[in-house]
Amino acid sequence: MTRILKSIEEFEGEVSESLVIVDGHDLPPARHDGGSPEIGRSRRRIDATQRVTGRARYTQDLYLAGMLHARILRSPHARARVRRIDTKRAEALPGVRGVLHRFNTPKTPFRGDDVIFREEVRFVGEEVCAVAADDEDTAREALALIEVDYERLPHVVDLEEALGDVAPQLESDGNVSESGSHKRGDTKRALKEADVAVDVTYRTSTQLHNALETHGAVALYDGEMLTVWESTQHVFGVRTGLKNALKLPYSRIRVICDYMGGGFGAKNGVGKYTIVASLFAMRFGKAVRCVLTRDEENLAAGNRSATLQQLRLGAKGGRITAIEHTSWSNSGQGKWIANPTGPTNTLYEVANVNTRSYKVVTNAGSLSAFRAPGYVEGAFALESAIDELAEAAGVDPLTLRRRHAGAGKDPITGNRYSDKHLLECYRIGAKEIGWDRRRAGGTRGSAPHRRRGIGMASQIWGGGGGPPAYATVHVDPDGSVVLTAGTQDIGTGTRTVLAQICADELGVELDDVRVQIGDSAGPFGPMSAGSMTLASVGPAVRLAAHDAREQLLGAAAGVLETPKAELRLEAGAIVSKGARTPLGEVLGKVDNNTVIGKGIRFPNADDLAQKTFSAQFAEVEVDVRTGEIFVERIVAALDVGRIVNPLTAASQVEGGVIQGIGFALSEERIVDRALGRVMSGNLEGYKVPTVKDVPTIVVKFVDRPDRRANNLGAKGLGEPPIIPTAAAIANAVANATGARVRHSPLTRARVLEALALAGIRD
Amino acid sequence: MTVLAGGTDLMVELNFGRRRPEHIVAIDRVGELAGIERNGHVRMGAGVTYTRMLADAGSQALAEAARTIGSPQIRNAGTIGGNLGTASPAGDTLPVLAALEATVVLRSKAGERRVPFADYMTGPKKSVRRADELIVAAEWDEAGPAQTYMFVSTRNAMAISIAGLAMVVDRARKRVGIGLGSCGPTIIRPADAEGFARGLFDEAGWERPHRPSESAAKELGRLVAAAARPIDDVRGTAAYRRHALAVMGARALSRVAQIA
Amino acid sequence: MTRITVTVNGAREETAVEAHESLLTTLRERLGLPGSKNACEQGECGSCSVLLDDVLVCACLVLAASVDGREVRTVESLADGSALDPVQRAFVETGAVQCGFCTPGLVVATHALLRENPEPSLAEIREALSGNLCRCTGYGQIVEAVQRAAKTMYLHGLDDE
Repeated sequence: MTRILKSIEEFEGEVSESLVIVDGHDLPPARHDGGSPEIGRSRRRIDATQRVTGRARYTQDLYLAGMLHARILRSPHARARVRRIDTKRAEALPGVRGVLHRFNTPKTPFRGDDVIFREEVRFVGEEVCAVAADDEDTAREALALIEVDYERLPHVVDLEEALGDVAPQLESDGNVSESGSHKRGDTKRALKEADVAVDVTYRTSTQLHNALETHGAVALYDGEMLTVWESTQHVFGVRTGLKNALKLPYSRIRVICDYMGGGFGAKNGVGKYTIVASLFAMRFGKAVRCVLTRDEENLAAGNRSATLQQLRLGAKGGRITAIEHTSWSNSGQGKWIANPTGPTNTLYEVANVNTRSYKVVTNAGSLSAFRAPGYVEGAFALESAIDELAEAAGVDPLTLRRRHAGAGKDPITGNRYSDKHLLECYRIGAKEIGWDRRRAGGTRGSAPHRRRGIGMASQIWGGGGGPPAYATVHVDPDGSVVLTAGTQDIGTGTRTVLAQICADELGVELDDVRVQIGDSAGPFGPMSAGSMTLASVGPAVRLAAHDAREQLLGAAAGVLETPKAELRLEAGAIVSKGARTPLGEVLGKVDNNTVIGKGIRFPNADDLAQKTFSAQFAEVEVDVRTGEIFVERIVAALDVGRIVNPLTAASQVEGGVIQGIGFALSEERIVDRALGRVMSGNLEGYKVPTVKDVPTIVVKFVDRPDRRANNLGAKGLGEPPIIPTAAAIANAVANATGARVRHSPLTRARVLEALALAGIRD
Repeated sequence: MTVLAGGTDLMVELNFGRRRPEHIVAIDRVGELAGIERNGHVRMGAGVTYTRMLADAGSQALAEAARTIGSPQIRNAGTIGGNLGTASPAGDTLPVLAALEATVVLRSKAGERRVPFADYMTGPKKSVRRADELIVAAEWDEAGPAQTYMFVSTRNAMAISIAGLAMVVDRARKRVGIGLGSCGPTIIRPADAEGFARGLFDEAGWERPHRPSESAAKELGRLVAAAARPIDDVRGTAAYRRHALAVMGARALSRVAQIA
Repeated sequence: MTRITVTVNGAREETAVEAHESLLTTLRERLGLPGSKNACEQGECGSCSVLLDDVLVCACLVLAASVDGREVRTVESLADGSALDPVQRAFVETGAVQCGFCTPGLVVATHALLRENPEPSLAEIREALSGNLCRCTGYGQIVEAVQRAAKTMYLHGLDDE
C-alpha cells in the first residue's frame, strides 16, 4: 500500500525532516555472520579496467562532432560595476560564434540571483562574459578582445579585515551575520567555578579542492532534448539547476556523469559554465564544451572557508565543565556557511555549552562544500583546545576525552544514537599507535634538533543517509543483470559496492551485474556528498535485488514445476534439492521476458540520531630549527557501521587522511589583499601532498553493523577520515615541542613563530 | 625568435595563452648542446638535462640541486640552459653555478661571448643575454667533493624552493663560494660569509677535513642571512627565508667542512 | 599550422598542428587519444605522462611540432584488447585506482620506472612517482601496486614487449 512516512536526515551537520512516499515494507537488517558471499569482501573495482587503460571517458574527454568551445571572461577586479561591454572586435574574429554577457543574456536564475552575469561583480574571477568559438584557442583569443568598462568599488577579501569597522560593508546589514547558535547549561557560571580554564584563538586558512578533473560540462541540444554531460556529484541537482535557469521541464533535460575525476563537495550542483554551455547549445543547435582551467577552478569553483575561532574551556575535577566557541567564516560571495561549531555542539557530553557561528561576506570566491565542511575547521580548533585544557589540567588528553565520549544520546535533540563505538575507536587507535609510549613534553627525535611526539583527535559526523533513493534490477532472459540506481560514482567506488550488494541479495556472481548510474534518465537518487551515498542508495539496491529474486524464484517455480519454497538462487543458478539450473536456462524457457525488481530507501527512524565516529592518532618529528614537521604515522580507527568492501573503504580513508595532511601542513589559498587576486591559483603555487609527503597510514574499522540505521547496517565513510587529521597532527606537534601552533596549515614559519613564543630554542 | 629547450617554462606560457610567438626554435635535439666535457675543467652543454646531471654533473652540489628539481618528468625535460635562460631567482641550479663561479657561454651570429655568472643575471627573469644570443654552455673549474646544495620548501616533492643555498669549498684553490637562491632579485653571493668561511679554513687547514665549532657554524649562518634580500611571497615570508638561510648556512658549513 | 609525422603507439600518424600546440592537445583532440588527462597544463600533476622516445615526459610540456619523426607511447598502448599489462593488472588488483583521473599517468610513470629499474626500493618508487599527483586514493595502494607489478614483471618479464 502506498503511504507517506516522516523521515529525519542529516546532511553536512544540518538535521531536517522530510516526507517519503513508500510502498511495501523494508527488509530486516542483512545478516552479518561472515556467510555473505559479497558484503564484507575486498573486491577490486568493477570499472578499474576502464580506468587503468585510459578508456574511461570523463566529461573533458568528450569531443563531439562540430562541437563549439566556450570560455569565460572573468572579472580582474575584486569588486566593480560592469558599465559597458564592447564585443565588436571579439565577434569580428573568425571562428567566433557568439558572446553572452549581462546586456544580452536572458534571465537565468542561479543560486538566489536571477542572472548569471551580475551588474556588480564581487570577486576576482566572477563571470562577466562567455564566448563560443570553433576552437578553444579562438575562444581564448576572443576574450582578450572584449572591452569591459568597469567602475571599481571598494572591496575587502580578508576575513579579519571584513570584521573591522573600516571595511566596506558589502550587504545592507553589514558583512557579518549570525548563522547558528546552540546553548545548553550555563557556561559563564561553569567557567567561573572551573579549576582550570583556557581561552584560545585558532585560525584556519582557505583550502582549495583541486579535484584532478576540473569543473566542466558538454551540452547538446537537438531541438527537443537538452543533454548535458557534466563532471558532477549530482546529476539530478544539475537537472534542477538547468530547469530553473532555462525553464525547461525535467522530461526534456538529461544529465549524464559517467566517469568523474573527483569532486570533494565542489561539484554538488549546476555551475554557471553548465548554463553557459546550455545557452550556447540551444542557440546554435550544436554541442558546446565549457571546461574550466586549473586557474579558473581555483578562483571560482569553491573553497573551504577560512575561519577565526575563539574557544573558552573550563575543567573541574578532571572533567570538562564548559565550552564556549565563537566562529567566523569567510564565505566569500557564498550564501551559506559550513558550521565549525558542529563538533563542539555534539561530540562530547559536556553540560555547559554555548556556541555561535557567524557568516562573513567578502569579495572572494564563494565557499562550497568541501569534504566535511565546517567540521574539519571546527575539529581543528576544538580538538586542539581540548588538548590545551588537558595539558593545563594535568590530565592525559585521551583520558580526558574518554570521560566525555561515552554518551548514548545526541546532546542537542536528546535522541539516542542508532549505534556508537567511539570508545572502541580510542582503544584500537591507542593500541596501534602505542599511546603508552607518549610522554608529556615529548621525546628526543632522530637528531639533536628534532623532537618527537604523539597526538590524537576524534570526530563526529552524520553519514546515515536517507530517502529518497531508488533502484531497479533488470534480469534479462540470459540471466545477466542490469542494476540501475539514482547515483553517480565520483571516484569512491559506488559502482562496485552497489554491484556487491545487488549480487549478494540476488544470488548472482559479481561479474554478472552491470551497473548503470550517473544518468538523470534513471530513477532519482541523492547527491554523492555528505557521506550518504552508500547508506541512502545501498538499502534501495538491496530491496530491488530482493524484489527481483522473489520474482525469479516465482518464475522458476513455474518453469521447474517445483514449489517456490524449495528453491534458492545462488551464484547465478536456481538450486533445488542439490540440482543447479543456470538462471539463463530457466529464463530462456519464458521467451524475452524481463524481470524488474524495484527498490526504495525507506525512512530513517525519527527518534534516533545516526552518526559516524572515529579517532586518529599521529606520530610526528619536528625539526625545531627549520620548523619542518615530519608526519611519520597516522592511525585511523573508524566506526562507520558495516564495511561493504574493505579494500575500497580503506582507500577512501587514506585519501581523506591525506587531504587532512594537506590541510594541516601545506594547503593554503593566498590572496593579495590589495587586489583581491588569488596568488596560489595553480598546482605550482598551491601545494597538495605528493607521494613523498605521505606517511604510513594504518586504517582500522570497528566494522559492526548499525542495525537501527538501515537494512544494510552501513553508514557513510567519505568525510569522517578528513575531520580529525589536522588536530591530531597539531596535538602531536605540541606534544613533541611544547609549542602550540594555532593556525592551520602549520607552515614552517608558523611552527617557528610558535616555538619562539614558547621560548623554545634548539 | 623564441627558443624552446626542455619546455618546462615556455610550454606553460604557451598553454596558458600568455605568449603566442610566431616562430619557435626547438633546440632539444641539437646534439652539440647535449655534451659534458670534463678535464679538470667542466663544460656542460646547455641541453644537458637534470636527469643527466644526477649521474654526471661535474659538481656534487649541482647533482644535489638536480635531485631536488621537480619530478622525473621535469628532470627528463628541463635543462641547465633552460634554467639559465629563464633566469629565475628560484632556479635550482643557479646558486650552484654562482658558488662555482661558473661562466655562461653565449653565442650569436657575431660570435661567442663568455660571461661570468656573477654578471649574468640582472634581475628576476632578466639577464645580459641578448635576443640574438643562444646559451650554449656553462663552464667551471672542478672544485673537488667539498660542496653541497640545500633548500627548504613547503612540501617534499615537486617543490619550488622557498630558499636554496649552495656551498663550494675548493680546497686546492683555497676558495669558498656560496650562492643563495630565492632570496633576492638575483642569485646572491654573501661576501662576508664567504670571507668568514675562508678564515675558518685558513685556520683549520685547507687540505684536511675538520668539524667547525657550533658557534662558527652559527656565525656563518648569521652572515648568510644578513646578505639576503628576501621578500614575502606565496611561498614564504621574508623572515622565514632569512631564518632558513641561517640554519642552512650553519648546516652546510658543518657538512662541507667534514668532506675531505 | 605545421604538418608532422609521428609514430604513436606503433602507428604512423600524420597531422597538422598549431605552432604553439602541446603534444597533449594533439593526442587528445587530433589523434583521438584522451587517455592522457589534462589537469594542470604546467607539468605539476603528471596526469598526461607519456613516453617520448622511451623517456617519461609530461605531454603538456612537449611542443607538438617538435615531435616530428619521433615516437610517442601513451597509456592506450599498454593493454592488448582485454588483456591488461602487468602494471595495469597490479593497479586493479591492489585497489590503487579511485576516481582514476591520475591513473593513466601513474601507470605510464610506473612503466618508465620498471623499465630502468626492475627492483625498485620503496624510496625509489616514491621518487619515481613524485611528479604524479593523486587527490583521492592515497598513494599507499599505488606504491603497493608498483611493488606488485615489479614482482610480476621480474618473474615473467614485460608481457607487452
